[in-house]
Amino acid sequence: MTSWVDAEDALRAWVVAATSLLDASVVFGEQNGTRPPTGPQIIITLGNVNSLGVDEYVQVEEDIGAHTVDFEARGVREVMVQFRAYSPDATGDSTARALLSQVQLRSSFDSIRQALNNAGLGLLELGEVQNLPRVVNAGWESQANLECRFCVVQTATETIPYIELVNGDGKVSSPGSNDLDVPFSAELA
Amino acid sequence: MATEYEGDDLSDVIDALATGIYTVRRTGPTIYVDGRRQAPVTTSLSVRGVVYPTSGIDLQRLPEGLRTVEIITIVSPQQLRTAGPEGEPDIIEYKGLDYQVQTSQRWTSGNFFFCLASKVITQ
Repeated sequence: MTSWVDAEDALRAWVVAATSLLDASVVFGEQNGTRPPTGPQIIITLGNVNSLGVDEYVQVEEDIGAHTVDFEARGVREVMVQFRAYSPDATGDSTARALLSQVQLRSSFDSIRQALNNAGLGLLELGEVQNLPRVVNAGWESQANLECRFCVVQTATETIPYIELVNGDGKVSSPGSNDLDVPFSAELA
Repeated sequence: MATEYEGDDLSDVIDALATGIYTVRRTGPTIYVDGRRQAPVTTSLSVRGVVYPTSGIDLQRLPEGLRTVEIITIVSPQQLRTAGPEGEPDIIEYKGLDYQVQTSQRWTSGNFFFCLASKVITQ
């Protein structure tokens, strides 16, 4: 995964492309603020991040001039993504369930898959579109939910300096004898 | 056509008993760019009113999660806004601290607004 921002952008671009909703109507969840303008809208929320298997820790680069070694921690993660749709329409192509059904269907488009992959996201599982209409104030609001599982590879690098050459002076002493100076030097092969 | 009987206008009384003039920060509707919330545009206005600690009964009108936060009651002839399509909730400055408006009730009889606001805890 290149970055969380890229991953979020790719997920959002998928939803916008699949539903043709207004740009302002597809937003990320768990942000303070008012809901987008009236009309159909989809809220994307990234959820749990589960570790799959054991993370690796490997040397990836050595800078001889700077006397440093780069180590990389690399781990596979499973990320849950929730798509929550809201719509004032109870029938037709712009109901919440219809919108999420389009998101689900178009995930098989090569262009969508490629964009997700470029952002480091691999689609593991497409969930079911749950139809969850509810009464808001005095009228029905169409709501639906879709949860997908994605696989991402996360990496982090740290740079560690190493000692290439050590010089020192030692002294060997013994009773009744003169001290013996012993200079020493150690160099990385 | 229905007739609504209006009671006395108590806004003059509230003005007379006002504990102060308070600064209120008001924001417009949230703007999203690429799905992400942008810093809201805020305007300031002055509100005259009576501020006092909230009673236990009034506290129960709030969601449970807010009952352990400091809540103040504001009675004012001017309307304070809660979250809605027109914007984010008003923030009232009281004793150097920020309080977010949680409820705002219009009392037609008396011509005033009865509001509860919770202390904004910054991390």
